[in-house]
Amino acid sequence: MTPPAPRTVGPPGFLETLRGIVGAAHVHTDPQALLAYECDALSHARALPGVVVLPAEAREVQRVVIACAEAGVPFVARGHGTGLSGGAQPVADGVVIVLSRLTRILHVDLPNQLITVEPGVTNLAITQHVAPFGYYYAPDPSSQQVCSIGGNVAENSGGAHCLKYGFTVHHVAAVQAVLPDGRLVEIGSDLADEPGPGLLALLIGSEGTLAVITRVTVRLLRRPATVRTLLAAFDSVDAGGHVVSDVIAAGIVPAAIEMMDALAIEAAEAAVHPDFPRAAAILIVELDGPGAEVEAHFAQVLDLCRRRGSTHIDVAADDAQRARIWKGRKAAFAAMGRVSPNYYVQDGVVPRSRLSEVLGRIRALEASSGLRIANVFHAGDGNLHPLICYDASVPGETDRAAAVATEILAYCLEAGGSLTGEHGVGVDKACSMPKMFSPDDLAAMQRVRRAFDPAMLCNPGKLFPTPRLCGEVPGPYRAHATEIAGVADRW
Amino acid sequence: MVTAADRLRDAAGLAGCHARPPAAPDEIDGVMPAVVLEPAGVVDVAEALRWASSTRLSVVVRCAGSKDGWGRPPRDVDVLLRTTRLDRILAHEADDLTATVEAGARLHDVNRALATRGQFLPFDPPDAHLATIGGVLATNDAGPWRHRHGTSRDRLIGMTVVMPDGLVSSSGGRVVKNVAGYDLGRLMVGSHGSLAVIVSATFKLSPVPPDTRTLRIRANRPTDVSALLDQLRQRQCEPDAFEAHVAHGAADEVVVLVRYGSVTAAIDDACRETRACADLIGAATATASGDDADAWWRAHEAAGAHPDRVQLRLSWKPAAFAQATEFLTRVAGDIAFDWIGRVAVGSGVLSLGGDDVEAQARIIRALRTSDVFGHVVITRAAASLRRLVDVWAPTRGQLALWPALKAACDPHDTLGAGRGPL
Ligand SMILES: Cc1cc2nc3c(=O)[nH]c(=O)nc-3n(C[C@H](O)[C@H](O)[C@H](O)COP(=O)(O)OP(=O)(O)OC[C@H]3O[C@@H](n4cnc5c(N)ncnc54)[C@H](O)[C@@H]3O)c2cc1C
Repeated sequence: MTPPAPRTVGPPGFLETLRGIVGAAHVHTDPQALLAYECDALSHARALPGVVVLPAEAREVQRVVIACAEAGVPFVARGHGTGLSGGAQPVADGVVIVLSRLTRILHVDLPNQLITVEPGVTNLAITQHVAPFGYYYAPDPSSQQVCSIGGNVAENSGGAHCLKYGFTVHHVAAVQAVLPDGRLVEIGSDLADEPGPGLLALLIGSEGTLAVITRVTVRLLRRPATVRTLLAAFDSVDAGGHVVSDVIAAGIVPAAIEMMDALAIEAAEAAVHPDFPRAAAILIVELDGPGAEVEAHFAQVLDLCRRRGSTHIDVAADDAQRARIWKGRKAAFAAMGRVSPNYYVQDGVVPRSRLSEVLGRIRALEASSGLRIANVFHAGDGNLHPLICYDASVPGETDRAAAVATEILAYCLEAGGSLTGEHGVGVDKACSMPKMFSPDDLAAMQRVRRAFDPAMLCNPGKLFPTPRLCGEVPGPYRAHATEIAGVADRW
Repeated sequence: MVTAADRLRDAAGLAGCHARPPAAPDEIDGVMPAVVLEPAGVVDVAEALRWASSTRLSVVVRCAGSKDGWGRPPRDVDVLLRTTRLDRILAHEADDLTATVEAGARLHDVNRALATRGQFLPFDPPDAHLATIGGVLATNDAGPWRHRHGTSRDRLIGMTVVMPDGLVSSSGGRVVKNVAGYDLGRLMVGSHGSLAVIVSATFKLSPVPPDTRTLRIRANRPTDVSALLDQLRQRQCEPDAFEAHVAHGAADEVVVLVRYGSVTAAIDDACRETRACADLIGAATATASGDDADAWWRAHEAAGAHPDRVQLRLSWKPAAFAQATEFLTRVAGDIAFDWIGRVAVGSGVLSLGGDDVEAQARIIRALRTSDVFGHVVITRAAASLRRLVDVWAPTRGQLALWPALKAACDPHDTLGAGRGPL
């Protein structure tokens, strides 16, 4: 066999420059090594990068970006590759900048409730670092053991407890970032309320398209005084959905409200035996805060569950029982493999008051499509995660599952919801963006993107619909004054 | 030479914009605009801006004018765009705890309407009785509720703006969780109308607590305030607000207001814990609710808002409250001041007396270069002081990004008349 021809990346000398910056051992061009970086957790969206570099610190990241900018080579930042929308998918023959070696905890400031870390530190490691002192970092994505804080910032990640405590954007005080032209800047600070427009908030959730994050300062919270958790079973998904809006309308903001339907319960039982009741739906409601407030609200929630005809209520008597409930909830995703050979995870949002209605439509779709759909999701935020079960070995079923997933998104948008609550747009939903945003909405976002990245080198092809990805992009593109003037041109 | 009358004649052609000549209250920091426009809907705002930007006019956006002292002295202003007529509540989805409101709606009116369903927007900036939704967003101004609820940027879930060339753009949405697209809404918060005109916004609301109570604690020294806050944290008390007032020359006494909002039983517990903590630092404590408590809060706000003093917004390291007090006392020398703010957050306002602008400028510079204070913004001062020291003092990161952002959103410098920040 003839070895594959050596691939060329960038102009002559480019790879040498990269090796000079991070050391030859941390530059990969061997196709075998590159395979590991072909995709994130959206594993069907693949592209082979030209080169993968693993810098050791912010200055090296900066020099790599400068090299890319000078050579005109596109680059994609990558944390731990757990993203579910293809955000870290490489640009074919471009550069992947992997942040996984930047794992130092740089500064812990407990009196001011701040911690500063490098972007490769995992979400859970932050909480583990400060837990002995009674503090924690609030956003808790299910992937928290493995995802990086840099990835969390890029995706504005959430978790079960974001209902009360908010998302990544509510907990980041400052970042250090390398702009696409190579400048290293601080955005935000240790001090509250930096004046001026919300550059930090813009960067959070921008999916790696505006800058490479090289340092993150997050706020820490103190553990609440009391935590109470209940599990309520219902004989319809509808009833569970109504309880969610009843609770919100009653002026109670629980720490979390999660829902699982019969199929999700079955999967969780098969995997970790949480001893959940067999029911059409269960709700897990967790309240936390000062003791007397939690007790009062807890009694109200119990009452609301009973009024909607809850068939069975378990109250966690201690931490062990609470942990068992959460274990069952968190295992549900991975456990789907036990009830279906393949499944597709959708991520959409509906107003909480429309939960029952949309869940009803999903049930009807299940019947008409012949594909089983499990629901396990952040009900308190209206963030649906339907899991569409299919068998890839049956011809046509993969496509049908994808069509069902798309249909569910349409239901979310018709109800006034969103394309994505936490997994991001990436490549997965870039072509769906025009269903939620008008051409003018997207044009305004593009203007901002150009302010950061006029050369379009920083994670191009993500988040926005492009002709290459989506064919004809619907709607007329509105040129900006600077474009008409010839200062900048289109992607 | 185009005269104000010509401008007015051109503007009269903009249907729905209610063009009129300016009157005395329309003066912007000493500059009279040529025309005042009062559009009533997003289409009218777009038309007005399209006209203004294509004719290269300069536009200042204002609603009630409660934050009019903010910013650098303006250049010439051609158009004053008032959002007064954009005052509707477009939606209140009580079962979702969300509401969509227009920028010119008054915070008080909005909250009165939301209260019928036991909900509210937890914003209490200074002069809240005048403040409009657009003004709160544009300045990212906040008050004591900042302690529990964050700023308007934290509560925002969607926004519609008009860019200077008339492009109407919405971002975010109406649901509380959503990561689709860039968060242009949160970007606009704090931009002071220098990037786009905010037309409407959607917020996550809060339930009105069933009961509230305030404790007034007279701490004998600044370190006691930090000790008190620390004790409350240890006991896992969760106040709605934790404010301090430090007055020049009032020995070391710091007046602290702590407010709880919850079910009555929880408030009873929290007040008991708080009194016990106050006893530990030997501080005198009083408790009030209803009108009596309101009077304390009004006095507290008024202390930071002397109408004829220089006013600054500033932040500090929360744990360094005592050092900050000491530093401030030292640099202020014999210039009178009142400093009020959120102790646990480290943000508030400072009002500075005296009429020596050189001395005031020296204090501002000292605060900006200290290790405990930062983000010092001048929110009210004579133009002479604002020429001596910059109102905004952007950081290096901001200087790296602001020009490109301004060029991308407002390439002809249509908005803001140079008042800043961008
Ligand atoms: C089993 C499972 C469960 C999950 N559960 C949740 C959940 O509950 N909630 C939730 O929100 N998400 C969840 N996710 C999705 C994922 O874990 C998050 O999006 C996470 O934040 C991604 O982090 P990462 O380090 O893996 O980022 P990657 O996948 O490596 O990258 C994600 C995006 O961030 C960008 N990026 C990464 N690092 C940087 C950086 N330093 N600077 C700039 N851009 C960067 C990339 O370019 C890419 O666009 C789950 C994923 C899995 C596989």
